Amino acid sequence: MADEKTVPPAELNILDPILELLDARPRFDGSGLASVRYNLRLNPGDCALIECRDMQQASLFSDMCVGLVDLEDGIARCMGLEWSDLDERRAAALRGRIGRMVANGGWIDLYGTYMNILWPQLHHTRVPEERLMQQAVQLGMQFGLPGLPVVSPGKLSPLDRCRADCVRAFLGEPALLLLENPMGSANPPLMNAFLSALTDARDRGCAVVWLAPNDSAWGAYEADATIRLRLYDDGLFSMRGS
Amino acid sequence: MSAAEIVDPTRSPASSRQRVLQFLGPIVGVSLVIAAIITISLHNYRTTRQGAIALSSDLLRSQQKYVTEEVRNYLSPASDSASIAPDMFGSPLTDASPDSFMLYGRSMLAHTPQVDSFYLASDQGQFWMVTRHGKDYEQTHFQVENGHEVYRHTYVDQNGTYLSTASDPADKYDVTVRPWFQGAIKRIGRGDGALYWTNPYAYLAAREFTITASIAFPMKDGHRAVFATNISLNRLTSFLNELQVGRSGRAVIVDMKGQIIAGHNMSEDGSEPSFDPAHMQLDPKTQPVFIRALNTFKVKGPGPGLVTARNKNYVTIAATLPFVHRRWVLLLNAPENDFSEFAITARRQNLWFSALVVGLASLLALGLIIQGRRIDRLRKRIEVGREQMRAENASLYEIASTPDLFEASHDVPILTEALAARTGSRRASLWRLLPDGERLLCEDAFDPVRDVHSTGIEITKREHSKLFDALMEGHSLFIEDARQDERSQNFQRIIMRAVDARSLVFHPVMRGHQAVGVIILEDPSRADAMEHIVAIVSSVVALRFSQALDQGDQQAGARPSVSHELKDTRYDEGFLLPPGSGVQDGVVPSGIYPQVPVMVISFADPYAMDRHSAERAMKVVSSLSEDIQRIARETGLFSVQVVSNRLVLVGRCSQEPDPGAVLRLADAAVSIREACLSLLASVDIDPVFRVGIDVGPVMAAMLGKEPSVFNLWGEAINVAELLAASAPDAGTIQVSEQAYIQLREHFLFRARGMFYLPNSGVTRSFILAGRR
Repeated sequence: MADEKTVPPAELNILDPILELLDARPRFDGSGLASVRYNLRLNPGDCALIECRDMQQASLFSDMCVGLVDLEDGIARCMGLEWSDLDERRAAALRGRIGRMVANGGWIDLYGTYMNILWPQLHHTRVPEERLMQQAVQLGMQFGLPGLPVVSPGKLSPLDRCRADCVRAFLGEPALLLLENPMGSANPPLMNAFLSALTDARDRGCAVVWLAPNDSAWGAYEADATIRLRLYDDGLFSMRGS
Repeated sequence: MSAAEIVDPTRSPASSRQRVLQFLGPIVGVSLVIAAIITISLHNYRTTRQGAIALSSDLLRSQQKYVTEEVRNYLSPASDSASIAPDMFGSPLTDASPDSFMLYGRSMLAHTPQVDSFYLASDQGQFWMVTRHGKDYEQTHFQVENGHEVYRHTYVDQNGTYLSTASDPADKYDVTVRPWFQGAIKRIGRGDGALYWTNPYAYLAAREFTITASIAFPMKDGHRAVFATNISLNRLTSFLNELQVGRSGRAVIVDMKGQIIAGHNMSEDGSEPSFDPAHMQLDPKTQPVFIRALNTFKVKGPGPGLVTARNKNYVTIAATLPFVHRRWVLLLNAPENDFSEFAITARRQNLWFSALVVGLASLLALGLIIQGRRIDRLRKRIEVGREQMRAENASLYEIASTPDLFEASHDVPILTEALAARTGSRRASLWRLLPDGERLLCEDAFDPVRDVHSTGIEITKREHSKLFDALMEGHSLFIEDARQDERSQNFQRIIMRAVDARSLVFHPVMRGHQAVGVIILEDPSRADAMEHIVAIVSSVVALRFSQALDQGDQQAGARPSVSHELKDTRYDEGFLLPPGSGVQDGVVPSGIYPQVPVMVISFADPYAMDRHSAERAMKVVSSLSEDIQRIARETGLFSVQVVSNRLVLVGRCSQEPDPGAVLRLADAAVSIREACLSLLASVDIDPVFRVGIDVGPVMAAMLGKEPSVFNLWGEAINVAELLAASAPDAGTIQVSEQAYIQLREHFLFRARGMFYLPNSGVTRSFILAGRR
């Protein structure tokens, strides 16, 4: 339990890392994420670009970052809180501070896209629905939507679904963004809007993990990244020049 | 934690539990003490009460035995006499006085005061009686004298010596019909049950309640005689009334039907007109305790009991009196208080002691809670201090890691942001004293609420002389109400009123002894925690302003003077197609037009363009504008206005809806798209335009004078702009639902979906694919 005793002295915590993996070794369960030691430290405003050819593996890596993968060994910490120390309620609340774009979309087609977008914030916060909708509409316009999509996600075009995905991830000013190939089917204007929103988020102190199957996905933005990594079967490795 | 967050993941449930425990622990402790005291008191009370009741029952039982014995003794003359009567008075009765009866009667009357008289009668109508007459005795015989039936009274003394005689008429007196006679006759030969007891009755002559016990027996001549003993119940009643049962207890003898034989509430003399001793019943109003005790006796039999009546508890005891033929029951009752008064007193004392203990325990608990809360507050204060120190360190880190921090020409917004964040100010600003010493120039002001920086405002010494005086003297000011203070009144009116600020911190920035600027904080909420950060920022700002001052001195001569050469301002309207082109008279009056078809074409500017590309793009734009102009004329549009990188095309501006205008506008949109695509493709440029079309209300007016400029604005233009901006892809035409309804029969569309907008609700948008 992260009680007062385990919290390091304040002067050492001038910049708490948003995401910290310290020799985190996931339990081997054959799901696709190798049971090796992963190390990553992201401070507020940092952006890690991670190349991973297998997006399923990338998804599992993201799952580990949000405490959904049991660790055999090591530490996975988010905003100074160790996932293994948190009960389900607190862990869920902490996940409420994380924006995520998952590779498979993660949409529930039984409800309208607007509900899919608003759900996380409606569940985790007391922000009035009206204000949330205003923020979502504003973000939607920023990403090229004429409003908040009402139809179910399956009825949206892939590009509009990608825009809605961005709205969902950026809504509520998350402290950590886990983006699994976010701009897979994006066009340049959407990419520009996305990068603009990403820069704003980082400027606000949000840490970003951008996973993509190849380095062309982030284009010129790699120059603005804090670190560039590759996710292989045997762990995370720095890319040359990063 | 965000204030809106429902669960704070950083807050450990252990600390919440500890806080709850800290608060609830003492309360639970006191509650337990109270519960323990109540339980013990209750147990004590019950034990004491049981003891008192047991004691009372024992006492009542002994009293009951005593009373039973007394009653037995009281009534014993009747049974004793009855047992010897057949032997003593077996001789046939004649008119001659039965001496043995008289002697026995006189003797018994002399020694047993409760016996009132004795009767001796036969079934032949003989009747003899002996009773008291003052100190002497009266012997009465029923006889016939001179043809009249009379009672012949002979008065004798104890020895039987004749004193006098008298008679009373006794018309038609027949002793054989008397109840005591008939009752005894019926019971003849029953052995122990042969003794007959009458109901109590008032013997008015003697003013006494009397009961008669009679026994029949055969005489030697074969006739049956009855011997009766009259016993007065007055003495028994007096005895029961005088009996002390507890302090205020009562005793009564009743039969099974509730008829009172003797005891409490029995009238003393029976002189009341309604008095009928044969029907003297227990009164439910005045004697509820006896009635309940009797009912209990009927169900449970003899023994002690507890009865509640008149909101009081009574201890009762009931016992049969077996020696009386009729089933008599002796009932005793006494209030429980008579015996348990000491227990009540003890309980009351216990209660006071308990209240005292509970009070002390509550005080202790309150003290614990207050102490706990105080510790909690102290801990929080320490936490806040630690957090503040950490935040200050973080700010310091951010400031220190800012590149070109001391470069005066480089903006450093982090300084005001850190100031606003650490001091909780409504606005934080840095003001530089200009070299002339007469003006303060705002280098940077940060408004955290709106998250905006502003700069460039100047205040002069002429208007704010007192504030400048303070600055020159290097005095820091903290003004609670800037409106009231003469030094800051003007500043409040001019600067602070914009953010509705009231208090002001004015901290001069000094280089040595020379003021170079000032830090101003409006409405700081953490006045006690600002010293450190203000000092840090002040030292940084001092270096920056000093550098600016030095550079200012050097460049003072080289600074170009402000040119006051005025040139004519251009008022170009920016219309590729002037308004009113499709209108016959060409004049559009100002007003609101409800159904105006509007198209907005938005061109995206490439962000990084070299000069060559820019020149090439300008040629394309020029060519494109000519094409658009041509298409607009051909399709008879109302106007085409260029606004920066956007084109606003209006189909028709009229009060009546014109479906043709919408169609012409859509036709123009398709043509323009084709023209743009082909032109851009020919010069190898990606499509960089998006089109939005809407039909809705707009406002039109001529703005300004000489020249007047025609302008259109309103909802339709806003929606068309939004549709253009949010068109799903470059080169696409997105139309609103309103436009779609009017165009769907003539053009092909692809639905994009339904979207929600706060002010419009759910609406649909469509992609115009082409003509049908």
